[in-house]
Amino acid sequence: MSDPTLLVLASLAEGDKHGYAMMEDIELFAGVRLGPGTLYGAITRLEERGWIGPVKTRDERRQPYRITAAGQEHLAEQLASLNRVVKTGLSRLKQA
Amino acid sequence: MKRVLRFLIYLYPAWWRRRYGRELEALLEDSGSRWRDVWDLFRGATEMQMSKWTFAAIVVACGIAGLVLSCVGALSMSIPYRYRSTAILKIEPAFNTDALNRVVDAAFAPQALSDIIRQEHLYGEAPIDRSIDRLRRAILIRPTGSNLAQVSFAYENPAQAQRVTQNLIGRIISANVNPSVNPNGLRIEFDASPGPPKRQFEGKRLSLVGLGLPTGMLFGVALALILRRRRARTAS
Repeated sequence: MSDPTLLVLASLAEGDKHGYAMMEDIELFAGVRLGPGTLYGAITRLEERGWIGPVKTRDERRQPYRITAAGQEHLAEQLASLNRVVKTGLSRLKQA
Repeated sequence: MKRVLRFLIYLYPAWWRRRYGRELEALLEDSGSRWRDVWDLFRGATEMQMSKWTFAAIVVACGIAGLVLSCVGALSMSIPYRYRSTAILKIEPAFNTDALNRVVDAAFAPQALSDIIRQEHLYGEAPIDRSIDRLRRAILIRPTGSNLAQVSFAYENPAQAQRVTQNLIGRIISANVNPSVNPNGLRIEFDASPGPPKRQFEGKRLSLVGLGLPTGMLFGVALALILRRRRARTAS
C-alpha cells in the first residue's frame, strides 16, 4: 500500500492531524516516509475531492485536517478491496 | 538546504501557495531538511502546475522545452569541430615535471607563439594577445609513461593542427639544447611524430539536437497520461 492519498486517509481515520503529525504517523504504521511534496500533493487532491477538510485552529501554519464522512466511506471501500486482495493472495500462497 | 527547499515552494502555482504555502513551510521546519526532499518538492510543484493544464497544453509545453533544447544544441553546432594532433616526446633519463616546464616555458615564449600564429594564420583577425592565450589553452602536455610525454594541439583545421604540433615539438627540442634552459641535461627527442589529427568529442552534437524535440514530445505525452490516470484513480 503506497498510494499517498490512501495513507493520508488511513492516518486521519485515527483522528485530526496536521502535516508533520501525518508524516510521522504514516512512517510509523506503514514504514513509508512521504516527502513534503508528495504529502501536500495528496492533501490537495483529497481536499478537492471533499474527502478531508481543514479543522479550525489558531495556528494556521500547522493546519490540522479531518477525514469527512465521504472520505471514510472511500477509505472503507479501498481497504475492503485491499483486504480481498490480501486474503486471496495469502490463501493462494498457502495452496502453493 | 532550507533555502533551497523554501525556494522550491515558489515553483508551486500562486493559487496553491496561497492555500498551502505557509503550511508546507511549517512542515519543512518541523521535519528537517533532506536532499531527497528537493526532488520530491520539485516533482510536487510540477504536478501542481500541470494539474490545471489540459493534455494538449502539456504536450505543447514539453514540445517547446524540446525545441529550446534543440536551439541550444543548434547554437553549439555553430562552434566548429576541433581536431587534435598528438606527438610523443621521449625524455631521458626520466620524466621531470619541473625541468620539462622550464623547457616548455622557454619554447613557448610569447614571441615564439606569435610567430606560429602569424605563420599559420590562426584565429582569424583576433588580437594577438588573445590569440596567444587561445593557443596556450589549446596545447596539452601530459606524461604518458615514466619517460614519455604527450604534446598535443587542437584546432578547427586538421592540417593546421598537425603542422602546429610539429612546430611546437621542434621548438621544445630546440629549447632543450640551450644549457641555460636545461641545466640538468634532460634529453628530449621525438618518439612519435604528430599523427593524423582526431576529431574531438563534440562530433555527436547533430544527433543529440535531432533527438531534442521528439524526446520532449514523448516525455510530455507520457507525463500527461500518468497525470490523467492518477486523476481518474483519485476520482473513482
